[in-house]
Amino acid sequence: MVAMGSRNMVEVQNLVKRFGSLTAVDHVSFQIHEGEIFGILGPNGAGKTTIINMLFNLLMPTSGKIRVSGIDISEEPFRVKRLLGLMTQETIVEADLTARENLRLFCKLYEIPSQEIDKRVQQGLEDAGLVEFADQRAGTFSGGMQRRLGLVRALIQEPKILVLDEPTSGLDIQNRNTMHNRIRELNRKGATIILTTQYLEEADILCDRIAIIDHGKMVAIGTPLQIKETTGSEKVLELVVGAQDTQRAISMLKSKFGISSVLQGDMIVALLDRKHEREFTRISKMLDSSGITVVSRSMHPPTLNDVFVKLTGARMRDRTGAMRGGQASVRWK
Amino acid sequence: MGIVSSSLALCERELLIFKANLALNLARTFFISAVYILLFSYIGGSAIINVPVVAVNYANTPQSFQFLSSLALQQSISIIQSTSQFQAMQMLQAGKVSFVVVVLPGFPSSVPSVQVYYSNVQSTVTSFALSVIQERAEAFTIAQSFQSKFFLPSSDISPSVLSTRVNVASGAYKDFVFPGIIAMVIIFSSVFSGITIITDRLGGNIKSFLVTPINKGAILLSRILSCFVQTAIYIVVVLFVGEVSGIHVAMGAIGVIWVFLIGLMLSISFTSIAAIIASRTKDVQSATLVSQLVVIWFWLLSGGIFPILSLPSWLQGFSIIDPMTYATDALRNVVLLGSFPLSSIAIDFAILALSGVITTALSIMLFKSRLE
Ligand SMILES: Nc1ncnc2c1ncn2[C@@H]1O[C@H](COP(=O)(O)OP(=O)(O)OP(=O)(O)O)[C@@H](O)[C@H]1O
Ligand SMILES: [Mg+2]
Repeated sequence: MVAMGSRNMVEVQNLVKRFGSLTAVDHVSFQIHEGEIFGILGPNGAGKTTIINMLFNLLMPTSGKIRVSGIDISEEPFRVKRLLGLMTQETIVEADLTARENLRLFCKLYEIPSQEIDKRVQQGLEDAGLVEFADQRAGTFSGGMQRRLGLVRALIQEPKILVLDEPTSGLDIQNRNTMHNRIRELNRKGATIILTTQYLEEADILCDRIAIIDHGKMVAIGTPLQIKETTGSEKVLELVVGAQDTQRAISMLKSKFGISSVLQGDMIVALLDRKHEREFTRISKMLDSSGITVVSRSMHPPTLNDVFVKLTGARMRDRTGAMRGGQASVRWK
Repeated sequence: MGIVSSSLALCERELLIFKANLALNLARTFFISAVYILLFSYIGGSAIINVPVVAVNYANTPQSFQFLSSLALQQSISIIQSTSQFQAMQMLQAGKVSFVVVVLPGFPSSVPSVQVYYSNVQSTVTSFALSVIQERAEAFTIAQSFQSKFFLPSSDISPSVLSTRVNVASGAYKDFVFPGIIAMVIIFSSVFSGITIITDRLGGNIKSFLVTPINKGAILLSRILSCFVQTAIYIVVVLFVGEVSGIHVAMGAIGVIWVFLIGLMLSISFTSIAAIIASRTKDVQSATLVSQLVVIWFWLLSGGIFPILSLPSWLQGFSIIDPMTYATDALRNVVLLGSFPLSSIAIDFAILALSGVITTALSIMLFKSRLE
């Protein structure tokens, strides 16, 4: 990772966006430094794409200010757009155009001098590994190929800041790793990168700093390490018991040890403070002796996932998720 | 200028998409026009419910007014008055009306006292109308002869009504309807092109364009430009189908150029109208539905498939505000008549241009606010 410049490439101040009665972005403020990989992490409907749309002046903020490289976006949107490149969440390629025509189109839209277009297009095709498919229609490409084309298209005007809206969702492990490496490489070459993601591990391994957004509000910001430390010195207890015993185990943890736990899928998850940490064996024995079948038990330092559970409350999230049509909690592991 | 170069770049994109689906696009236009021409040439004009008649009254006597109003009372006839026989004959030749009824100065006692010109377009409705006109005219002239007690009229000859058949272009109904088919193919392709804005909006393509430093207006302008090219290609197809089925442009090579000019003017309005619909509807289905309804109404009211004068009078008012009316009128002059009165082409073009400006301005306004 590159030494971070002290300059703020992006400054977001008290950004608010309302759609009718829904507040999609709720007083969000952050700064992004030159040369860093900044992650915006949040579940479905958190407001990530809405923030990006406002960054590109595609949506007017209800209130708040955005500056890119010191320029106010609402005052000089065209200057700002030349500094930014976007890969959208849904991979959008011109399906009826060939890969080459796709790139040429965007060269022209960015008003790249015509004598330079061929060179850039060729470079883009090479970077995307699409040289041999250059004259095939992009609509016939696989998802991974389309995503690679989308990425070089976002880079065609050599932006200072590259914005990637969920660059890896829907990709298989191999393509995801390739994408990660590509992002790191671009960053090494000096690009400031903003990416949104729903994957905690991805934010953890890729980003220099992360902002966690939930229901439009920013609940935490900092390096992955700083964020993990917000849980203090706690440990995470994870138990899987027989299905019929789940509720009994939860109430037993509460009544006997004063530990509150939540159910995530089949797993009972609880944050243990220092006092309870030492009681792991006691808890274990106690469950066995009361006839509860323990399928698996473990204790480990908190991950970002656990932090998220703590910050937003998985249970509360599950409820509101259901109210919002159940989309909010589905992709969280 | 930024907006020009970005419009051209986006127009190129539209045309590449058009090219990618070229066979389908051409086949569709070919079959639509061929089917309509075949269909209408067999219907043979029975679509005309009210037969449009121009009356030129040189007599100006109470009886002559009575005669004309008795014609107007006939259900199958709709009458307009004209002061100039020349103008009336031009309307007949351009296929706008089926009859010219000239009431001669000596009506009802002179022989002949009524001169009827009728087009050679064959249809049961028009020959029925001819017999009605003859019968009404005879009723007046016979009544007159009884009154003056000069002679008893013979029942098998009617010297008071002289009928002359006038050759109108080639005379078949398919010739009449051909300009309407050209206009229809143009508006269908324009509307289709305008409607794809909504697929591009929902698919995120427009978002990907707006991320770049282009003027929003370029998105609409590029579509109008690409529609020009597509319209020109479609016109070639329709003219070809027409040529094959024996319909020739009366004005010849110059006429073909006029057809292009008129077609392009028309396509501006309808691309914009479709863009307005696309910016006001949520999904492709409702946009398609609304635009089909709009297109069909514009088409029916334009006089493309039957003369405007044969519409009920309350509907004729709508024809006046239909840009397609003027395109069809101009096209009919070019294709059927082979010449146009200067004033009429000037009016047609002025109104098409005006409607193009208004609809484009409106669609840019609505579309910009929608993209916010
Ligand atoms: N144009 C709009 N009109 C009304 N509501 C909107 C609009 N755009 C977004 N929303 C709502 O704002 C909220 C935030 O949406 P947003 O797309 O920013 O979420 P996201 O974090 O990008 O989610 P995902 O991971 O699903 O992409 C959602 O509840 C969404 O339904
Ligand atoms: Mg999103």
